[in-house]
Amino acid sequence: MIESGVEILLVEDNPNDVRLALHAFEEQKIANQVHVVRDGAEALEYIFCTGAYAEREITNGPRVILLDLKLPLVDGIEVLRRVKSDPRTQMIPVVVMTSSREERDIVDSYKLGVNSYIVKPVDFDQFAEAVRQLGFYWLLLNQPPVIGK
Amino acid sequence: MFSFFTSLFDTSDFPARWSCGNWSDVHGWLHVLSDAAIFGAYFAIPVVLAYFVVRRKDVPFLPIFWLFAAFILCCGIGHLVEATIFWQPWYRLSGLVKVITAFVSWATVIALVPIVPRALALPALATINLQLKQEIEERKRAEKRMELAVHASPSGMVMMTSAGVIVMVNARTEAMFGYAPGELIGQAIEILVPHRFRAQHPGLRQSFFQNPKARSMGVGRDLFGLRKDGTEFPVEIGLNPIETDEGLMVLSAIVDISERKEAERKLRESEEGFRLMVESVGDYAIVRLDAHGCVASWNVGAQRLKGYSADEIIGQHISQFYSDEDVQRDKPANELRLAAERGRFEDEGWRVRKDGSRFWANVILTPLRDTASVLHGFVKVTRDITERKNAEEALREKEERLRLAQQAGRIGTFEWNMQTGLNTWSPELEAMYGLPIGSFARTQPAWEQLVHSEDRAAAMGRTQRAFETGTPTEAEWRVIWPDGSVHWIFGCFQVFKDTAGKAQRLAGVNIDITERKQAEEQIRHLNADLERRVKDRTAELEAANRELEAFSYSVSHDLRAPLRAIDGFSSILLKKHASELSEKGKENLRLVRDNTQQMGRLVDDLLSFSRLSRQPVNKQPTDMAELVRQCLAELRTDQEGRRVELTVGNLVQCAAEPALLKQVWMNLLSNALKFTRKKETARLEIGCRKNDDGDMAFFVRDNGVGFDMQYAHKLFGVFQRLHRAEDYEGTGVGLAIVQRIIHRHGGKVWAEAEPGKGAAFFFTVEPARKT
Repeated sequence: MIESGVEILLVEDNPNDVRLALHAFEEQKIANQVHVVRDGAEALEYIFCTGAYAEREITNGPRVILLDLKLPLVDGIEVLRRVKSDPRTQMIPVVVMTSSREERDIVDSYKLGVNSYIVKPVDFDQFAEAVRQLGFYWLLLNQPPVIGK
Repeated sequence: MFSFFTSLFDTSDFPARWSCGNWSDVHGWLHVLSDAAIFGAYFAIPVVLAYFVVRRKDVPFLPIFWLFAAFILCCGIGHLVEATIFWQPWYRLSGLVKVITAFVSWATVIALVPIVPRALALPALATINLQLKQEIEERKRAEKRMELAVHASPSGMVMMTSAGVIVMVNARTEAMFGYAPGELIGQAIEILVPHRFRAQHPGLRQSFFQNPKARSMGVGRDLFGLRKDGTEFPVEIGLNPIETDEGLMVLSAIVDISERKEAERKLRESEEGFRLMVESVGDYAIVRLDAHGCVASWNVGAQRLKGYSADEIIGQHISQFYSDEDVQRDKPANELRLAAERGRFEDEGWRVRKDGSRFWANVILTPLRDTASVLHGFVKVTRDITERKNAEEALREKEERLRLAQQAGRIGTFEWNMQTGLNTWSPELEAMYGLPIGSFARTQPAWEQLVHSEDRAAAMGRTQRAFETGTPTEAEWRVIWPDGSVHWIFGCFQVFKDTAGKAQRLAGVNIDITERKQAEEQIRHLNADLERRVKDRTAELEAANRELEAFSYSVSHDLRAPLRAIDGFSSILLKKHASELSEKGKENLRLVRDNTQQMGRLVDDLLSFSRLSRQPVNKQPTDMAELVRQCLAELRTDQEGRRVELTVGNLVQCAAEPALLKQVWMNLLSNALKFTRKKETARLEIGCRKNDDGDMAFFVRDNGVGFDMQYAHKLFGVFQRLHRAEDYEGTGVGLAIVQRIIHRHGGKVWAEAEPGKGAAFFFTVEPARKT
């Protein structure tokens, strides 16, 4: 396990959604391993260890990024493009979690190499179930390649 | 009598002369010897005369000669008696002799006198000789000519005796019969006669000599000559009897008629061949007529054309072949007369067959004349050209119609003949080029000059192309009329080539398309205007679309987020703080969650509905039965625990966007299942049928609650619901989606229902065909 213990990067601007998501993670007992950023620019700083996160090691990336698409400053699609086009970060699984059912968003995301696309359901029970399955799959089942070597 | 003679020689009365007078010897002997000498001469002369007369039979005045001889002899005897009187004085004898002499001399005188004039008329001997000589020379020349003629004669000449011995032949004969010169002389004439005729020949020869006159030999029979080499050849022989010193002879003229016979044979063959040919000609009636116009010969073609057999018609007058009215107008006789006068007569007209039917005939009458120009008949050649006549008639009518059509359609025609270089235009075409009728110069360059200079190269290029391809070629060009106005011409033309591929003529039509061009120009303007407006409108629409898209994107994102928050926190309240809430409070929170989730569904449905107008419809062959099968499979949970009778009929394929059509089926089928929920047995019938417009209508029929048809117009509106939400959940968007999808496919959707008895929803996918 990585030292910082950050397993999940949650990129979400809506405080309600952040709170609901963290609630769901809590129920799964993985909330302490979640780092939340509130816009696309901060997400990029965190991922690429710049600005406020300059002291971070890029090799010490999150195990999975949960990415909303509609974000202030830099939108989720742009964040996804940057992550997937940089050799240092392109191995990090990215799961888009968005309200958008727009076909265009889905297609764009997959073209950029998204690993999963989840439409956030209005029904919280379904949302909590989705989060549970996400944590189970990406943190326990998925075997990531060793980064930075 | 005796005493007379005795008295003659009685010398007793007179002395001997010697004794009478005084004769000297010389004188006496002079008388005696002279008288003796005269007697000698006078005896010799008659003898010579007699000899001469006896030998020369042609001596004229023969009795005179004998009288002369007698007279001279008498004189001689007188002198002899005178001499003897010197010794014997028989003066009586002397007297008798003198009397006789006197008689004879007078007889001679009397005989001479009458012949003197005749003797005077006798020519002198020299003249006779000269004449004789001339005659001889003339005779020689004649003989020479005769000989030359005989030898130069183109005929063989043979002279033979009555015994049949050849006495003369000319070189022609020897060459003709193959003998060496002179070889035939002395031979029997039969050597030249073929063996089979030889036995009878001497008899024929003798009968000729019995009645010798110039004639041809063997009249009516074919004569043959026999050559030395044994071959025979046909001859013609003329016989001429000739009287000669050696008796009657025959001069035969022999002509070798082999070539003539051969020529005659060939002519006969040729005539026979010609006759057979004429008789066997089937397409032409070739008929010989006599001078009066009666049929003398009849060929196969005539029989075929006119229906009469030769036996029926030979001898009949040609009037038979004419109609009654023609005969009344004396047409047959007139035609014969004209043919005889002009040497040929040609006519086209109706003629009549044996069965009375008519045909259009081409007739050529030619008179036949002998060498003396005497008319002895006609040859009549007739052809049935009814078909050609009909074809010409049809062609004429067609051309007339074409001309009318061209006039009506204002189509001008032209034909450029490469042989003559003439480019012939119809009057309509000249009018089309603004030219007075008949003023076009009728050449190709003249046309080129009439074409607008900017279009000339292109128009000539098209013409060139017509030459290369030989197919109908089209072109358009402008012409400037003499009044300066510009007119558009459309031309379609083709090059026609002969069998050798050489271009013969370029023919085609021109149509004035000025009005069309103007209309096209107008349309182009309108189109450009329309396009511009469409572009503007499209831009507006696109802008509106973009706004709408942005709007629905926000709705999708921002409208759902608060709902999620409401639901999420309500859920947390219910779970984490359940102990702090009364049952009523929990119930209210649950209603909050239900409404939130219903709101979420509404938003989702609205979004899908609005997406429909943006999603493209790509029609492709769509298997409706497969779509229905998929939908029913996905709706399996809705059927669990219920009795559902499904009847799926035969569903035809149609052209549609499968993903959209699936939404249609999904909505209709889930509705049917939903509204039959309260039935003990739900019956769903799915199928298709041809509706009144001839389109295939698909349908879903159920036995559910149905609805009142007076609200049918509300069925397909967004958020329109005919049932209470407590009874049948839903957002009221499903049928609006169905209608929009169907409309986007160009189809129709409608429903039939009755409350409590069920409903049926129909739709077509393809636009109704206009009939």
